[in-house]
Amino acid sequence: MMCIAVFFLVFIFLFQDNMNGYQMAVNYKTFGRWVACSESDKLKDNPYLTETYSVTRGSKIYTLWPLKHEFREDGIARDIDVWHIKEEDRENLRENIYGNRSDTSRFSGGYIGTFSPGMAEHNHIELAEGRFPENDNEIAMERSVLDALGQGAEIGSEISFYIAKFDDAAMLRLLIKRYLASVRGETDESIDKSIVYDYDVTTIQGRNEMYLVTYKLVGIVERYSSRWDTDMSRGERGEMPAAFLTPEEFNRLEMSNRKYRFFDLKPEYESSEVWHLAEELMDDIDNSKAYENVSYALNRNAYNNPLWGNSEMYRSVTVLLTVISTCIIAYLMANYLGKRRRFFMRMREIGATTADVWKMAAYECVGSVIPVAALTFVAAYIVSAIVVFIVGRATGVGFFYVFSLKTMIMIIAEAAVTIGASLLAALAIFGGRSLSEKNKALSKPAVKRIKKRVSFKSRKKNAYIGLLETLKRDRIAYRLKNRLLMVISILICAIIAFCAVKTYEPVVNYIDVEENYPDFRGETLVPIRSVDIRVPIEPFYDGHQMVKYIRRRWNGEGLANKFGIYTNVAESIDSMPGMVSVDWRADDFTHFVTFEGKDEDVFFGAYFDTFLRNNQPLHGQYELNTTHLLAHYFVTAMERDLYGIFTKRNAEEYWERYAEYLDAEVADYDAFTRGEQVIAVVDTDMIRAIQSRNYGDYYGSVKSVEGMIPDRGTDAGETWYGYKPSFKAGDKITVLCRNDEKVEVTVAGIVPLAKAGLKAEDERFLNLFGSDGFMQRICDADGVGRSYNSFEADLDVISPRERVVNDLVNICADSRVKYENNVVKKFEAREDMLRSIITYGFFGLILAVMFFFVLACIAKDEEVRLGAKYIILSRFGMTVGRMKKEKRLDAVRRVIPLVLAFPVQIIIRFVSDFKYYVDDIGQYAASFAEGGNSDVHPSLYVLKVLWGCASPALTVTVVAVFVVIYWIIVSRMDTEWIKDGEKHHE
Amino acid sequence: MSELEYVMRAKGISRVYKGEVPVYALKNTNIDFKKGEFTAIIGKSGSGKSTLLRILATLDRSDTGELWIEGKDVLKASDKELAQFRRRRIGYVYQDYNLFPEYTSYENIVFPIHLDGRTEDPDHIENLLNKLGIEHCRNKFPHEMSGGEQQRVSIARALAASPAVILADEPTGNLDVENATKVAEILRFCCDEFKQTIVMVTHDNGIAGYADRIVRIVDGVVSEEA
Repeated sequence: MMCIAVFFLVFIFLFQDNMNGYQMAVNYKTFGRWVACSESDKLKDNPYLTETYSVTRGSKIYTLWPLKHEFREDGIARDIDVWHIKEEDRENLRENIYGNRSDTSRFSGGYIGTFSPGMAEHNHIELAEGRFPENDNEIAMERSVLDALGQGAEIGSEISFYIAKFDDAAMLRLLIKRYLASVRGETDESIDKSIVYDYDVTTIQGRNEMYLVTYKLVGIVERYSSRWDTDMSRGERGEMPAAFLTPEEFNRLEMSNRKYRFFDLKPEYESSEVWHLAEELMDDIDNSKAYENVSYALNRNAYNNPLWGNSEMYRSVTVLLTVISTCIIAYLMANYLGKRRRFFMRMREIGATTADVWKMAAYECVGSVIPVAALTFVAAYIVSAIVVFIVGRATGVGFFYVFSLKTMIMIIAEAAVTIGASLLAALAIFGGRSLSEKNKALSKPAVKRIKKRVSFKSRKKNAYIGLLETLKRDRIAYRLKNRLLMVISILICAIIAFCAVKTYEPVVNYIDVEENYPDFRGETLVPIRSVDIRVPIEPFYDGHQMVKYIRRRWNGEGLANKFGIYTNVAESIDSMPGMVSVDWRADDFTHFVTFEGKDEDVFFGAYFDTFLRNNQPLHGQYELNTTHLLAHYFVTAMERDLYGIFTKRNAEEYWERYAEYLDAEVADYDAFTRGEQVIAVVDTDMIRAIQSRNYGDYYGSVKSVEGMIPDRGTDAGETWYGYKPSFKAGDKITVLCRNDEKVEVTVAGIVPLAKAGLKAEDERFLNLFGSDGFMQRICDADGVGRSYNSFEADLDVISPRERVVNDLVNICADSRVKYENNVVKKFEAREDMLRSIITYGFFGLILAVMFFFVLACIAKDEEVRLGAKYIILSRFGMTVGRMKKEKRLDAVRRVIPLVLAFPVQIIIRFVSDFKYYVDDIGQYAASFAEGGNSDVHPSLYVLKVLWGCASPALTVTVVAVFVVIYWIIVSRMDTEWIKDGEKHHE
Repeated sequence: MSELEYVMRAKGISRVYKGEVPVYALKNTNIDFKKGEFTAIIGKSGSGKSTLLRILATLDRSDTGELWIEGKDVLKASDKELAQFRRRRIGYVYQDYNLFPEYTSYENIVFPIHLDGRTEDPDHIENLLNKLGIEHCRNKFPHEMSGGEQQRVSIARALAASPAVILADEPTGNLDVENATKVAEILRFCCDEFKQTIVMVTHDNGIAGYADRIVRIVDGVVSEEA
């Protein structure tokens, strides 16, 4: 037992210390080791800081990119102008600057720079390949910049790029504006065109603002410049260089530069709790008036994220573990010496003095317990060293330490104090008491309480005393020990629950990110929900005339399928190496639809009647927004819903997803693929609500048409007619295209909106699912090229993702496609998950295993003690079955307090993320005080926050599992031992 | 004497403890106990007297023979039946008292009754306390009483359920001469006053003299009756 307890103590301490070291090492590797960064050297006046290294950043790295003025058939121009110059100005530039060539500079995303010796090693600027430059013609560069330059990334290859003497974007933009103003004649100022751009490589050296340089690539740098938090206190961002030259070569280049100084803690303040000191120091710097006028960046990312969330929490958990392990060892010592009490009493009987007894007890502890503890200490140290070594190698993080004098001294001192204190406590039990006192288990206050209860009970007729009462009274006799064990158990359970939560959340986040976020997503920038139909004021007599105009004369400027990503671009994306899958999608809600062949004139005429009655022309025309129009003027909810078209290339996904709603007699996948069938998603709840109301009143005073039925109500003497709403699989949908073209499809099945599983932004609009073939038919009918609105791409995990992503980024920029790059997000989610599993997950698991093992040993010990009692009870006629039942009931009573671990876990979690929760509550309270929209009082909001940070479902599960295991252990009973117990007892 | 007058009858009881060298604790023992009789079983250490007492108390099973208590063959009963039997028909007095330290005297005395799911008769218990001279110990805990008082509480506990027989295993073994004598007198008193059948194991011939009958065991054999 002592071995186990000491092993527990040592392993947990060392593991926690190393896990914190691992956490810090990961932080250093990701964010650098520096504490502060500034162009000013004022920070070196700080008594805790010392200036260590520096980085000097020069010009941006530019590439030239052809400016293409190709116009598509449909009149959309592509441009890749970094500064978003208007089309007419672009024409001016093209004519006046470029002549036959049209080049513009393009920022690659990186800067050139150099660093002082030691900077890279100390702050973990690491190389993926090669080495840092040693000669003046060499360069090392981040891969993202290499990809942006598009020149290949082989070590030894030649890399050329442009640098500018002054690369301030604002200044260049100013120059452009001034130049354009000059060209237009808006100013008399004459601007030399060659200042703005340079297009002739051979004439630029030494004379112009930008010039070409060429180096040999000797190293590829791991991405760091975009990770480091170098946002300066006075607003700007301290951009770090993504490419490195030797200092000599750097100084030779003619360009503006900025030197960033890095500051670390002075060596004398480096300790295992460096993060705590750094965190406090950063707060002091932020609050100090001495640095008010200094622009600096603080590396909070590296130091504000130790194990357990923050420094206070880390210390608290360390103290907690110390207390727990102290209590366990103290318990074991007291237990051990308690068993030896009879022996020492016998010693007294044969003539030993109290002092002799004390010496004997002390010698036993020193002679037997401490050597065992020492050996276990060594064993535990070796085991934990092996574990952290393996973890360090597996994760590639070099945090592993073999020997930390401070930690060892702390453990040894703690164990020594514990053993000593336990010894004294145990000796005090039997030191100088009378030998005739056999059992001093009950304290005087406990005796008083029992007597009170006894006198009360004796007044009762049926004062029952059973095993439960016996066990309860038995635990009164060992109240302190049992209470201690319970408190320890609650704390350990809470810590394990906390570790479970801290592990679970990153895992869930990773799964969520992997499932719901593609590696890369692109979406057309064109807003397709704005005004898209302009109908000039014509002598429209009624809505029918308006319908005719829209159908026949509308040029379809607002057609969504005119602004997509065209098939040639889609094909180039599809064929990019490293692409696992690309899911293309086209959305369209700019087409009207009718159904069941209903007369469109009738169908829409009344709508526009109403529209004309309720709307005024604007700027000489009626501006219709199809979405708005359709939402307000359709007859029934069914028809209102039937206007959104959504097609995907992998239509199979939806066919399978909605399979249960497809009509077996109608649905045909091949027809679906050809675009002859669609799946409709309809809000059946809304339909039911609409059906209970008048359904025909929007049709107006139309003569009865076949199929229409009179409405229930009338308006101004007119009879209103409408269609009885019905919509089913097999119905025909007609998409109204340009120039009187139509595309007819059959409904293969109807899916209730609530079951469709659409994203929120899609629910309102999109509910006709079709295949690629369907959209192709519509585009053919409209006479436009086939395109897509968006795509989602998943990349191969093996391929160089950064390169692929950069290519995608360039294509999206070329095609005016908004993009979302989730590769970094997914990578970080994965890293976060692994880190949490290694730290919190592993720690919690070890803690649980060790604790339950110790608990099992304690329970076994207690069983031996209680076994004697059970034998007596057996003699009185208590059956084994009854004893088992009572023992289990008693175990239930003992484990019930463990539910307190739930609120304790809340407290731990709250303290761990204290700043975040306090900020959240503070903001809410401020908003509430200002009369915001919140109805909940801040005091109740606090409860909501506390409940939220408890992660209730997971915590309850963990606590429940813990309680069950605990119960199993404490209720264990060896009936065979009881039966044979007579022999053991005697 | 008819069967009804015998509280306990043991015939052909043998008990062997198996091991590398088997130990024959009892060899074909025959012994009967009459109702209201005080019997002392004496013998040296290792003679088998405690083994005999445990078998009579149904705490152990003999390898051979029969044991009849109040006309019932207990050796054929199940564990559950035996437990019930021990609760209701047998009172046991231990050498080291075996009182529960966390119960008062009164609670220790009524414990077997409650264990059986019954409620005690307070008058009966008070009578016992008075007769045994321990009424002043009613609300005391064991560690607040002397050895003699504790043993008397133990005897009261054995009597409380009005058992068929009381089995006392070296009841005076831990007592000084004065208290040992008192306890022996009390047992004698119980036998006379309550007509209680008592079987007492002792190695003290003086204490054995309080019994109506002395049985000697030598090497597992009931060798003579005096």
